[in-house]
Amino acid sequence: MKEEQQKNIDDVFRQVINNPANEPEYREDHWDALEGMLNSKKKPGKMVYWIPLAGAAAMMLVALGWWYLTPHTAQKDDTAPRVVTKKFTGAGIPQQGNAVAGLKEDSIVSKGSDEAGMPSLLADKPNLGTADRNVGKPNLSNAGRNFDKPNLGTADKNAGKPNLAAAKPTGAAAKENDNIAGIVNAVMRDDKIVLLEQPKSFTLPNVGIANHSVKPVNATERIKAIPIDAVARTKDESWLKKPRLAITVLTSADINGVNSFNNTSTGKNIGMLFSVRFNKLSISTGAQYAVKPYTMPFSAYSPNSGYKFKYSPQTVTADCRMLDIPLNIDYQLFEKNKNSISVGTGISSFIMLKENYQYNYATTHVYGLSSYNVSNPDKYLFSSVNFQANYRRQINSKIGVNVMPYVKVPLSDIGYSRIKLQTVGVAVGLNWNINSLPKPK
Amino acid sequence: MSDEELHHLIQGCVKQDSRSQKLLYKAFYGFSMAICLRYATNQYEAAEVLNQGFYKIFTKIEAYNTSRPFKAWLGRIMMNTAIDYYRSNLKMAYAQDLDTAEHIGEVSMADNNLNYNDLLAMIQKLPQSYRTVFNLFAIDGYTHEEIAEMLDINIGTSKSNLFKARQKLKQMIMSADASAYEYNNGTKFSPVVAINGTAAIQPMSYNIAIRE
Repeated sequence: MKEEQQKNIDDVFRQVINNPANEPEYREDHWDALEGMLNSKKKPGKMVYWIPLAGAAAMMLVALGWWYLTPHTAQKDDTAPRVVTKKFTGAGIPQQGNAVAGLKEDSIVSKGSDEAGMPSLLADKPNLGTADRNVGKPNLSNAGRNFDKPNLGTADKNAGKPNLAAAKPTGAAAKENDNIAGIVNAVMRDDKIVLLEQPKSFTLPNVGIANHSVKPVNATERIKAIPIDAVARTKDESWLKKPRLAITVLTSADINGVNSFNNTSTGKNIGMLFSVRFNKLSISTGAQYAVKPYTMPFSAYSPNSGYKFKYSPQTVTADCRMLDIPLNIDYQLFEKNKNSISVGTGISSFIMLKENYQYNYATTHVYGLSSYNVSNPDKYLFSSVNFQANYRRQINSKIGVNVMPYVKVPLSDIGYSRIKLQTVGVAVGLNWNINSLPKPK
Repeated sequence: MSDEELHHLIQGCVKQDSRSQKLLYKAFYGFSMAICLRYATNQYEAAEVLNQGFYKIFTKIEAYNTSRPFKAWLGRIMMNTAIDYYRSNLKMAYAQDLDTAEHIGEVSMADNNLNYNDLLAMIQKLPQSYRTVFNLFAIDGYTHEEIAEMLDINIGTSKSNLFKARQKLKQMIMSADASAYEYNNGTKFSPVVAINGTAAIQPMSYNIAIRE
């Protein structure tokens, strides 16, 4: 009986509702609305000019990467530092092989006095930690191997005990000189020689090299260590012409607010950035998938749809998924040991992937639109300015970790709801240097 | 409209001919709107669902298989568009234990004089999840298994929602009967039906994927 009655209800509804005689009459205004939708679809999209722009940028980056990753032999020869030596005031150590190459007096660019040389301070990366042990021990045959190992340090510690035997001076040279003048190490660069060190006068009186008898040295004056910044400067110069390429995988959590941060929601992002670093400046771009929820008062919700709510919702909660395509430039403020800090700015474009809006009414007894899915969302070119700081710690020459607080300030409205969305957050990332870096100091 | 006329209109729509689109829209407006009205909460939303459905049809008309009846294809698109439109709300309804549901006394359907607008208003007053299941089961003839799959809900939820939809409809019918009785006796006038929306629906962005 009960079942029959239920079927009876169903039948009544089916018969009445499905009766063609009850179909509503045609309304012209509904067609006008649809016609508007169809016409707007036919308009050329904003992506028409955006795609070639993005393509050109990507191709430039690829070409740049290819150019710098491809070995250039001629360039290497020109830029590779070479150890050269020079005799000063008749002093010096003979038989130093062919390390003295192409040295011309007029081509020396000295950065200090050249009263005397200093033995065995190897060119680009002298062994800063044990310079004392090299006093009087030029051992220039190792110059090439030690090229990357600066060793400066307590030069005065064993200054009186130079092991000159290793220099293997000829007897003639020993007779000729009472003083061991130094050997100036220099770097050949663009047909000029840059001296790395200008030590103060260094005198080892009465050193009998020939018979290997070395008297105590009256070396009261400290040997000045090669300034670290001088070495670093030469390194930086060597990198000026070879940008560092890196890929960074980032994930971040951020806080989003419409017009202000009074009412915020937490979003998350994951993405990849490609960066090119020229000395202290770096340019980066890439893409990040961003989940951006936010809540706004209905007054801030201003879509172009023209849809009129019969009852106005109190708030609108949005859940947006988008691709954030940044183009940032960073300046490195600080670099010491394995740590560096940079600050930067840039601009972001957004490609909306999904937009969903939930309409929240003051009471639950209102019949109104509850949600809306924008299923063919738009693209928003250069819509926000980015400000970021970046702390990077290098784990090894290839891998580093980044912590990057950032702020995104809106430039223009984005989304179907046309709002100015501001964001503040922190990203953490893993950085992979595509081309090799100098070893961390 | 003859099959030949319909074929010509569809061909015109394939070529994105605006005149053909309008004629097709006009020809099937009533049929489509009737579907949208019973799935929607009100006429505003019904009009929006209707245009979303036609937008899909006009932008993906080449997907139509001419060997199948156009009207049935159109009807399914309208129904699916309406379901998609409200999909986010559907899962919010939970399956209430049938035993604990309020039991409404039996209603005699034989004597009432309810018209289309009365019944449509009752359906529209149902909560979203009840309305969708009732439409699919009672009017469109789907089984609970099919409904569960279409809405991504449990079969039990579908049955529960149908039960509760019927209970609510019975309640509304009883109220309508009482109102009619009072009206006929000159004691009270309280019309059940009030559908008078005149919203102007403007262009919006819609999903162009077609589900049949």
